[in-house]
Amino acid sequence: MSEPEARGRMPTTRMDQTDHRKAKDSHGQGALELADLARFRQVAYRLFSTMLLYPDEERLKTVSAVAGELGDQGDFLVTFPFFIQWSKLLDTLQRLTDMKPARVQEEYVDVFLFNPDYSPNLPYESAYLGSGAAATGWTAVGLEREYAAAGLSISPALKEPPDHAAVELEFMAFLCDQEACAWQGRRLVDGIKSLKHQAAFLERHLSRWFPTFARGVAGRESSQVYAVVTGTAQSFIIHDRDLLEALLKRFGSGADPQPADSVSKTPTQGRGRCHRTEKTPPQKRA
Amino acid sequence: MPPYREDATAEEGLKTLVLLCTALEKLGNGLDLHEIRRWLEEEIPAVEVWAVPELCGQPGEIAEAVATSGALRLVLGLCSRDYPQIELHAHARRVGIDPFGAEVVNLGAYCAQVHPRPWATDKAKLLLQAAVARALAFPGSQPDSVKPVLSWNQTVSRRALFTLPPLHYEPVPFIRPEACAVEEGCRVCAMTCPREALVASEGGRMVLDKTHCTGCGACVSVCPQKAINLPGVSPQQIDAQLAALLNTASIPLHPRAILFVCARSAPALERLARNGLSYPAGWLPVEVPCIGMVTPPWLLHCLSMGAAATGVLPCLREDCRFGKREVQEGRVGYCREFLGMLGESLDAVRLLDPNDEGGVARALDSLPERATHSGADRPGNVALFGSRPPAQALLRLAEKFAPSLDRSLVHPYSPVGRVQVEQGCTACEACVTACPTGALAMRRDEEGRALTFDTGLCIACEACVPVCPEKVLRVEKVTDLSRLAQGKLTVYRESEIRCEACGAPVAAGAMLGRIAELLGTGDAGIFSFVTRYCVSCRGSLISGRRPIPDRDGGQTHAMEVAVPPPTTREWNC
Repeated sequence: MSEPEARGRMPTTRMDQTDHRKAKDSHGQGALELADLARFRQVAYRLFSTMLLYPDEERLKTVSAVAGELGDQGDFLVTFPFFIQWSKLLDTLQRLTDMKPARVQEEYVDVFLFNPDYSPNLPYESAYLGSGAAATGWTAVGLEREYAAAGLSISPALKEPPDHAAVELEFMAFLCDQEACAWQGRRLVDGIKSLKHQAAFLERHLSRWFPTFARGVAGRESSQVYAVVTGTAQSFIIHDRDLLEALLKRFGSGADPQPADSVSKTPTQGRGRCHRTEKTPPQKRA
Repeated sequence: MPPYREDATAEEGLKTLVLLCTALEKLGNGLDLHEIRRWLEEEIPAVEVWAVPELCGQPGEIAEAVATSGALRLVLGLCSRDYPQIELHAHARRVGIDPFGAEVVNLGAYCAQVHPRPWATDKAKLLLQAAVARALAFPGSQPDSVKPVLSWNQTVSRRALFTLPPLHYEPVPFIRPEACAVEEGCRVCAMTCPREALVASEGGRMVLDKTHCTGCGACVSVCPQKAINLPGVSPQQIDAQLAALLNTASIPLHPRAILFVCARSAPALERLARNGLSYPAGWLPVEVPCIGMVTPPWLLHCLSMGAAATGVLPCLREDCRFGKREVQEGRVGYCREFLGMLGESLDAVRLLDPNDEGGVARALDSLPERATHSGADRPGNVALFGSRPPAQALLRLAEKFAPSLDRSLVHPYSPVGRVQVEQGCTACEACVTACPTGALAMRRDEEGRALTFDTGLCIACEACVPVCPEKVLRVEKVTDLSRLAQGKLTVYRESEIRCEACGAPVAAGAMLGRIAELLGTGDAGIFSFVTRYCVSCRGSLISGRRPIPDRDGGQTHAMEVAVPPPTTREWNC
């Protein structure tokens, strides 16, 4: 990961207004480009990652600004079941600038690091999967290897282990970026490969422990901001895991542009609108 | 971004918006929408009713209506089942309403097109009131309780490969880990699931494989802990709907009957409507995702709540584990035989065939004139998913119609069972541990151990049978009314062997006898020592901390203990 990203800055070059607009337009035409979907997912993962790092003032301002931009776009999101939580998240993040940074920092420490009255909700995978120092070590080693295989290493400036929630979420953002590039370049095989990589990472890591972590945070009465952040991230991760599985099932054998032979239940679309686009073969003249 | 709506509880006065399509005024015999609006707003607190032109084809009106009214729950009265569901879901989300909690009522096929206007209006009031009750009881959907489904029934162009296919979401069950008894060994839902979509994970949780799940809801019905919620068909919602349909006294629609309709067979009722066939307005449809959810206790529960009749309209497809004819005939057959045992009319429970339109019309053509509940004998709001659902419904019916409870019915589809314990039980409690409902329990008293069985809690799952190491347990699929009424009974009693040193329990006498039988060991040797003293005393005796009392009342010091070292023969038993 690059240093700016490791410090938690939202890289505005990665997803810019053009991408947002493109996603909206393509939805308006009735179909969402997979590249646009991947870009949105990249931004979402990066947003969650940033919010799970220590909230210094600069970070809070950046997040608040990005939340404002996202709030004006992404009409296509209304299709997704996490839309209501996403709306609430953006609203909460936009209001961060109205809160004193110290208040947010206090909540961060209270929820994730230290509280004299009860155990913190540690944002590390090894706190939820496996037990003991050995398990922690193996988890960290395994993740470092995964990152290295993708050509990444954690910036020393981050000062967090590889299994920190922010690091894993940022890695997903990286994979989404790779996927978006593949779709934009019309590279079907690379796109499917990236989908598989993401699905495997979610299955092995985030979707195994993040829901338990998020439920713990939600149970904290004192948590306002971070309950919303982790709750939305939980919904997003679970939805992403399911969506990737459905997409991979659709692609099935890979880059074979044959019609799928499975007929899934299609809800009624009213007034008998037909979605079939069948080509009739040319008739030979006698 | 549109405002999101904070969840609130029904007790706090959740506002519900009911939208009715104005086309219903003229559809078929028509509905009196003004009267429906007046009645709903008077009868139910915090309800607002709007009539919206062209609501069926323009779900965009929903967003504006909800935003204006500030409602937190939504009910739609539409002309048919043919409406743009994906758009409706999107518009509901846009205004902060969980679309799986939004209720849609087909007032065309169920009311306006089949009944004269006054009766159709009364029936519409009941159906809408029940829909409001369901919406208010909606427990919310979880991220785990929906799954994305990509529609891909089209020829794929190269461009289409790089776009997201049409996407919609289907509800799937969510298992509440705090209520689930999987760690105690319960596997009832997994055994019931026709797709093997439920698996007990190593982490002590019941996990759903969404790719296999079809959202049939059969697991919701069978879970003895009521730990499973299926968005739109949760136990609380079903209870609320049935109570609203059967207990509303201010609608003069009698007699009333409940018709459970499988989602796959609902078009059969629409065909009836289109072909101009009518039936008594008292038939109140309750749609379920799969008729597999509707077990015999559901049917009998409705009768015990005052319904004149109940019916099922299944798919009757052989590829459906629960919908196929054999199963449905078995379930309905049990209900009929039970009613026959009570001296009641067998006609009170009916099985409809969706492929036989004439048969459906004939089955719905009449309703028995049963005395409906009123005043003191109204059963009240007794829940289908209460603590003893099958037993409650059976006993209520029996107490109402049968002169005595000394009756029993042996039937393979009996929802309750009777456990028989044969000679040879060692009171090991394996069956107690395996029982998911607590019907089997072990009580310890001065006389020893007593294995008790409560017929009212038994769901005849037979989980206790394979775990019995002595193979002395049998579950009979029998509805024994007298046993149901008696509650908990002792089915086996065994003495408790107590420690000779301190009097604490060592083990059941039969268990020690069985062990002795297996080991081929008599009173001698280490077996005798182990069986005379409890674990604590054995430890302190062997360590020498105190002397061992003799059976004759003397004492032997630890160094003198007559416990021979284990021989090869003993340890190799």
